[in-house]
Amino acid sequence: MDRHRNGQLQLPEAAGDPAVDLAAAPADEAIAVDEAGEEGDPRARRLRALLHTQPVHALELNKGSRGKDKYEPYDLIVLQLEAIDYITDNMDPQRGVPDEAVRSHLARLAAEMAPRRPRSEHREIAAVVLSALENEGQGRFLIGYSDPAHPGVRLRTDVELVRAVQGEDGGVELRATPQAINLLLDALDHDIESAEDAMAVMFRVQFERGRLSKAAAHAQTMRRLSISYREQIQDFLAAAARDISRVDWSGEGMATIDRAYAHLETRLREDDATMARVADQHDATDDPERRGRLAEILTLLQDCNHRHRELHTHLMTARHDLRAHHAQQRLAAPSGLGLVDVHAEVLQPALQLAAWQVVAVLERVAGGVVPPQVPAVVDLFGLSAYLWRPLVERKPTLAPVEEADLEDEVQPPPRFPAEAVAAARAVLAGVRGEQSLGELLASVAAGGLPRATDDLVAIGALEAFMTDGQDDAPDSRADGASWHLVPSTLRAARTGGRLAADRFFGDDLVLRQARP
Amino acid sequence: MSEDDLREAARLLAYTLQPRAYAAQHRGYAELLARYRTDAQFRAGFHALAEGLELVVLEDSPRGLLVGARPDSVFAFRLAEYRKGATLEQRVLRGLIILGIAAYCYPTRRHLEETGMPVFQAKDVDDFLRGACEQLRKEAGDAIAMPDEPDLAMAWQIYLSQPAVKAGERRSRSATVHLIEQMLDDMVLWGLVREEADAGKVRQFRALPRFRAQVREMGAQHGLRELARIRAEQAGASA
Repeated sequence: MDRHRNGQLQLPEAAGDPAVDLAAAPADEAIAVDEAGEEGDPRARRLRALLHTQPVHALELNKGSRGKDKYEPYDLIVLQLEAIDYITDNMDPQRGVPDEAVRSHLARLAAEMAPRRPRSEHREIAAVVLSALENEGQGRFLIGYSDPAHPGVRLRTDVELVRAVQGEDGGVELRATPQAINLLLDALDHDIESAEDAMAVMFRVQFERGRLSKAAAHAQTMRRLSISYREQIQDFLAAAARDISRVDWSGEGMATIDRAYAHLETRLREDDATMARVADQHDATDDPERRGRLAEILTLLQDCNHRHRELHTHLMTARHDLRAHHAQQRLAAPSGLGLVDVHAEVLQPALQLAAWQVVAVLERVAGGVVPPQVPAVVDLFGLSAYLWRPLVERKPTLAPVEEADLEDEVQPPPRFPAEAVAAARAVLAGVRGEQSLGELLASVAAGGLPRATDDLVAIGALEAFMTDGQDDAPDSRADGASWHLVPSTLRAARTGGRLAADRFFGDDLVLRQARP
Repeated sequence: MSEDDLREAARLLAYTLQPRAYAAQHRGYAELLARYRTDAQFRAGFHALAEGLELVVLEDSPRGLLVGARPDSVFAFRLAEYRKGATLEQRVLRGLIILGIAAYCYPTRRHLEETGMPVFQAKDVDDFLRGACEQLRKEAGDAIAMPDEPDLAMAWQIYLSQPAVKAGERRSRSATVHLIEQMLDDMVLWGLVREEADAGKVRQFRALPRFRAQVREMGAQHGLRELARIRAEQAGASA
């Protein structure tokens, strides 16, 4: 590969070089001249096709040279192919695709590849990709190669996959060149794993080169492959029809059928072309031996074609039937026959159910998995045996018994302060004549006595009311200190009125000292 | 069928109801089995007897006759009655463990058709179940919290809410690896698995053909049917 700076490209020097001339001519003509110039040497044609993919690879391979890791997240090959796809999708014979539309499409794809990079960089990537495809201006590519027919001769070609044109509205529009369309859209779109296709190509090459005996051998192989392919597909269809639930219809199953269908369409088209070519040659030749060979090849090809046609018809109806079957299948409950994917079909869905629902499923699974259990029936004999059974001696617990920290748990009970108790005693002992509880409480509130004295006075009044002179409660503790609030002579009775005090309510009491 | 024949058929049925009885170990069983295989009338009588008890012959192998119980049979195993007094959560856990062991041993149809006898540990089953649950947790997003009502918790949430093993030496009743081992102990009694001898420190179990037959012929299908019923109900409810 020669890399030319625009300024270094010497057009006059290249004038004698047909390939470089082509670069200057419209692409449509370029192909025509190309074929005219190199007809009969498919090697040169293939080489040129191969070289046309070079800039696509080169951009990706050299992206490191644009700064360390800068373009690392972007797959420039994919972006280039996407650009060609997008342009060919949207262009029509008269008009290209607006430059800006292509740019934003590519920038969007670039953004998907590297969402964290800035938008400006995504635009930059789009520009780099389009500029490479246009192969214009700075960094223009010219590819040098040796002529396969004359290895001493160096030829050069340039590659232009996208061309910018000015649209009717004055804006820039992009068109995909025939090179791009032929190569990137058509030539590369092959099922390269298909043995049948490969054999067909081999046959065509041998046939076109006049090697009839080899071509006949390849035709034999093609016939064999077509038989095995038919069996393969028929086995698949039979298995599908037999047990439709065994095929993953949403994914692989239908894709296999679609792929086979597409393959057969191609084959049928090519079979026809090949047979026509062989028949033409057969008609044209007078050599009896050659005619015999060609007739033999034709028979083999017709046999292949017959099989392909049969399979194609079969597949067409099968595809329809299975789709219908599949639609039914999705509506119908699964049959009891056939095997079950325990993981995918039972465990996974079961895990996604709520407990109250899944328990029914699990009940069924467990009931099926566990062998029949002999029911435990409660009978009198069994019950009495159970009740009379010797008591099981319990082993001392193996777990270490933790010493409970009880200190924290015990809260000291609330106590009345001693001074409040003393004050309350004084108040209750000081009752002279008849005093109502309401008056006593009012005097406590007014007297600035210690906190909770009023509670104690109220309690004392109640005690006097309850004991009512019957002093059967022990009035002294072991240490001799009296714990009674109320002097044994204090009596209380209902006044009939209501207590009028801040924090107390109920019947008011009248207190008086009884003379002992 | 004569009274004697009926008695013989019932005796054969009694053998089949002992999951760990093998024909090779009991002469009577082997003789009755031979009669079952050769005497069409006896076989028909045996089937009638079994049918009346809601039992189905799942497999006739050289080891013996494998009989399974229909869900309505008095012989059917019931999760609700297993280890009585279990809460809904515990029942779900135990059911998931049975299903999990089955799915671990026979994840796909192919495994159900093969004849291998997988060897595994309780930990393998736990990793397998936990992995499936973790996957669902990821899909649901971490935003999903465990509902207060245990009925509404997803099965995977219930499983993940239990530890695999209890920290420390003491094994907890609710640690899943322990529950799996407990279940495997019962499955040994049911003739579904066998504990491998000389497995070393970690207990190893081997799934027996009976387990595969039970999963293939009954467990998986009954579960699938119930799932379909629930789906149909949900579709009916949302329509």
